[in-house]
Formats: sequence, structure tokens, C-alpha cells
Amino acid sequence: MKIEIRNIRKNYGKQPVLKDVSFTVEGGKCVGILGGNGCGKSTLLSILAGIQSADGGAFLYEDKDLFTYPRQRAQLVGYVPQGTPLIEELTAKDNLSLWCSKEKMEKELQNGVFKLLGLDEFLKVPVSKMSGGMKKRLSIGCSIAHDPPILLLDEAMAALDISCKQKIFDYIGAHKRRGGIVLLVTHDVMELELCDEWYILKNGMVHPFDYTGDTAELVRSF
Amino acid sequence: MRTYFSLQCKRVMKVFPFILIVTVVLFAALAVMLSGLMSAYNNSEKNAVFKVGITGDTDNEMLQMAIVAFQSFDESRFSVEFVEMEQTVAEAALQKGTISAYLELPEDFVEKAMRGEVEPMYYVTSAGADNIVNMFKNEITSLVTDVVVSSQQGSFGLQEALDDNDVAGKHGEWVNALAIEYVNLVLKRTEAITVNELGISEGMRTVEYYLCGMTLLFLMLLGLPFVAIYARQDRSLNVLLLSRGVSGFRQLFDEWLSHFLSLLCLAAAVFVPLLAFSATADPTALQMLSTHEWLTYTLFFIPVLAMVSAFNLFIFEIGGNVVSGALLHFFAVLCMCYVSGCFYPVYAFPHAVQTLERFLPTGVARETLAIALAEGADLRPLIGVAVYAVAFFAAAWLVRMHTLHRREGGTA
Repeated sequence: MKIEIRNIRKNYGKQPVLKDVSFTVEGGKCVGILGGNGCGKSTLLSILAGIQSADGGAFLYEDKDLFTYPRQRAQLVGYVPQGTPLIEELTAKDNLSLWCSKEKMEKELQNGVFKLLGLDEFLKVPVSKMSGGMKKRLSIGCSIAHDPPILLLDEAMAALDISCKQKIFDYIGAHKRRGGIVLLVTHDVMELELCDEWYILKNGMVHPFDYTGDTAELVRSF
Repeated sequence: MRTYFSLQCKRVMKVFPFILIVTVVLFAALAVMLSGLMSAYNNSEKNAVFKVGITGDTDNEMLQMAIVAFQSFDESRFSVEFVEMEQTVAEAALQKGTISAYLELPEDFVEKAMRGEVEPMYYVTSAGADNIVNMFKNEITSLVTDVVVSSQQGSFGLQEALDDNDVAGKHGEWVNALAIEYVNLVLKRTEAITVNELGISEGMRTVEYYLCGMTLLFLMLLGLPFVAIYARQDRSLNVLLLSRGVSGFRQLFDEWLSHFLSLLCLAAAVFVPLLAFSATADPTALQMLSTHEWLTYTLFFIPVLAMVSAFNLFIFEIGGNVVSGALLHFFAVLCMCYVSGCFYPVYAFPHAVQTLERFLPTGVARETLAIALAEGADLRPLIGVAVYAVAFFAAAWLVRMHTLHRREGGTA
């Protein structure tokens, strides 16, 4: 399995945000997308998730352009937005019921990704009474409830404590081992170490970057 | 797997008790405010100058003299101004609100009255002027009292004069006959006036007009507590739904449908106990409409609430958060309801405002509610309500999509 992002372009009015973004990700890999604020990282992910349309280019999965197959894309892609895509007045169980069947939920809670994320600990708690970490774990649970092979995480772990992050890292590790693909937009050094490949988005183009743990070098390349 | 619609319904039901309490508190506060306003209005009305038209046969010199006397010497000159005019002009002026009422004098009114024949004159009002009706009744009562007292004084004076001249025994029966004639004439005067109400709008009575106006205000304000649910800054849920193939249109439609159903429930939860309370407090209060009329009237809540729920979603989309959404909703509703004549009859407003009112969503909604009550009303306002419902929904959808794209793109 692999995905290929080919010549994606996007303008906001006359302002080009993505000029010619192209890269390939093999199955079982996690790719970090890096760059300064406003460089177009979130725009790229939202285009791949189907929230915005690209002005040009293709999103290939097994040589099939997912831009022209929106239903397949919805099944194949799991998008975790920056905020919390949850209904505040309802419980964790109610929120999960929007994204998966009852049987699937029970299975995942017993020995699946929901268990891995620790969602069984607060299943009957209303979202309004949850901590930030609980909300984020539930948000990820909702986003990946349909078992997508391609995960798009847009600063999904920002402001989480280490134990919460570790649970999400465990899930990403398991996802990679199953041959899944992860695209990760982040500013966090700890998350960068989770990635196998890195790309820096600058002036609307992506550039491969070999991250060695040298943060100063990373900052210079922005 | 549950649908977005069913979760929206569940969500609303979870907070329904809170919404109900907020609604009751809101309406209690509004009721206090309105009663205060009405009280102030009534006090100011007592000191107002009413302009009254006089139409019909006013050629008689005695009548002309009486009008001049009324306008120049009587105490009523401070509160009533009489203006002679043609009947058609008077009718138009009454509809425009430039006069408060007009008197229509029948042919040879004075001559017939002098002969002791009573042909009623017609007093025509726009119905909203209860104070002027009372004032006229008081004026006539006062006049009759004066005539009775003066007649008695005259009779006693005549009797004393006859007594002084030693002819009392001989002419006592003449005095009695004269007094009885006075009394008969005076008593007949009380039948000399008939009050006709043209109605404020589309033939509706005052109470029916204000029932429509207040109901519309009530239905529009019902949506206010829902701001806490629908006005959100974090649109991540909508973004995630989009990524899973649930279109923005479908999301908004589900929200609209759940909001519409919850508004219906809330209207029933507030309106039915309110009617029951009114019936208990004043058994005659609900008799202004028949049971059939009440049922038909409440049936027209449905299209109006469909439009109101689309309007609410649009306002909440623009508001963006709870505080600005609530403020925007409250002031938009109050302004539109004011211009649409929920607080005062629309005919009291300048012509330009009346024209504007006809095209406002609240204007067509009020006319829709009036279909059940007004004589000869057609169903055209229903089309207006449907058009506005679609327009508000489309506007809310455009704002939603713009917000989602701006959020995901503009802040990239």
C-alpha cells in the first residue's frame, strides 16, 4: 500500500498557498509535515481530507485518484482536526455512536483501538465534564472509528500531558505495524521522533528533511 | 451507528429542561416589561389629543354652533379636536391613523332630534382606541346628567313660580307632564349613539391583532436559549463530518430539523400551560376565539416555526459564539417585531415603514398567523414564509461553508 500526493495546488484568491506539492508515502510509515505558521500545512491536510478542494493535482491511493472518488476517500482517510469534534452535551459513548456501530464499539472497547486509547475509562462521562486529554483521546477515537488505513493528524496532540501522548503514540505505533499510513502535522519535537520521514513545507513547496534531533537545524530550515 | 440528526435530537432533549426554565424566565421578564410599557402608554394616552372627524349632514346652524362651542368653550377641547370632512376622506384618514374616529350624522339629525325622533349617529373607530370610546361615553353621560339636573331645576323653578302665583294646584299636572317629557327625551338620548369597529387590520379585532403580534414575538424569542447549543466557535465536528462524506447541506438540514422539532415541543410546553392558566384565571379570556379557530390558529405555528428555526440557525451562524449570537438574535427579533407591528398597529407607522413591514420575514409571519383569524385572508403569506425559510437556510449554509473553509484554510 502507498499513497502519492502529486502536484497539489491551492490559491486563496490570488495568493498561492500550495504551489506544487508532491511526495509519496509507503505503507507502515509515519510522515511529519513541518513548517512555520501559515505555511499551508493544515490546508494540505484539509484538502486530502476532502474539506477543501484543490485547484489542481491528485491524491493517489493504489493508483486511484481519491479526489474523484469522495466516498472511497471518506472510508480510507481518518482526519483528526485541531479542535475537538465532539458534542459537549453527550457522553463519550453517544459521541462514538455517531461514527461506528454498537457491535463495532463493543469490540473495539474490549480489545481494540478504543481500549488502546483508554476510552473505556470514561465511556459514560459527558464531554463537558472531561479533561483536555480525555477529549483529545475521544476525538481521535471518533476520527479513526472506521479503521481508516490513512491517518491525517493536524496538531492532534497539542497541549496533552505525557501519559495521554503515550497512549496516542501506542496507537500510531500499532497502526504503522498494521501497514497503515500516518501524515502528522506538528511542532512538537517528541512527536517528530515518531516519524519515519519528514517534509518541510515552505513557500508552497515541500522539501525532504532529514531530522536528526537537532532542533536548531530544523528551525534554520523553516 | 446513529445519525447526526438523532444525536442532535438527543442533545437538545438533554438540555431541554434548562431551555424551558430559561424560556419561562425570559417570558416572565418580558411580560413585566410589556405591562410596564402598556401602563405608561395608557397614561400618555389619557393626556393625548384625539382628532375626530365629523361627516354626514352638518348643515344645520344649531349643529355648527354646537361644534364651534365644543371646540372653543367645552372642556373637551383640550382632548378632542373636531374636523369636518367627507365620509370617504374620513375612512381613509382612519385607516392611515391621522384621525382616531369619526362621527357620521344622519340626514336631518338635528331636526329629527328636535321633534323627539331618535335616529342614531354612527361613531366609527379603528378599534385600537378604547380610551376614546370611554371618553365619548363619559362625555355623553356627563351631558345627560347635566340635562337631567337642569331639567329638574327648571321644573322645580316653574313649580315655585306657579306656587308663588297661587296656581300650583291647577297647573301641577302640567309640570309633571313637562318633567316626564324632559326625562323621556333625555333617556332616548342614551340610545343616540352606536359604536362600530372597522378593525385594525384585515378585519381583525384589536385583541386578535395583538394575539397574532404577541404570538409572533413569542415564537421568535423561543429560539434564544438555543444559542448555547448552535452558536459554536469550534467547528471541528462539522469538519470531521465533511471529511467523512456528510455534506454541509446535510449537516445543516439535520440541525434545522432537530431545532424545528424542539421548537415545536417548546412552544407546546409553554403555550398549552399558558392557555390553561389564562382559562383558569379568566374563563372568558379564551372565548374570543372558537375552539376551531384556536386549533386552526395553532396549526399555522408550524410553517412560522419552520421559518423561525431557519432564521435562528442563520443568526447563530453569523454570531459565531454564545454572547454575540444571543445579543444579535435578541435585538434582531425585537427590531423586526417592532417594525412588523407586534407592539403597535402597523397603521400607526409611516407609509414607508408599512411598505417595508410587508416584506420583512416577521411581516409575512404575522400575516400567516392572521390567516386563521382575518376575514377573507388568502394563503399568499404562507408562500412568503416558505421563501424566507429557504432563504435563511441557504444563507446559514453559505455562512457555515465560508466559516469551515476559512477556518481550515485561512488559519493554515
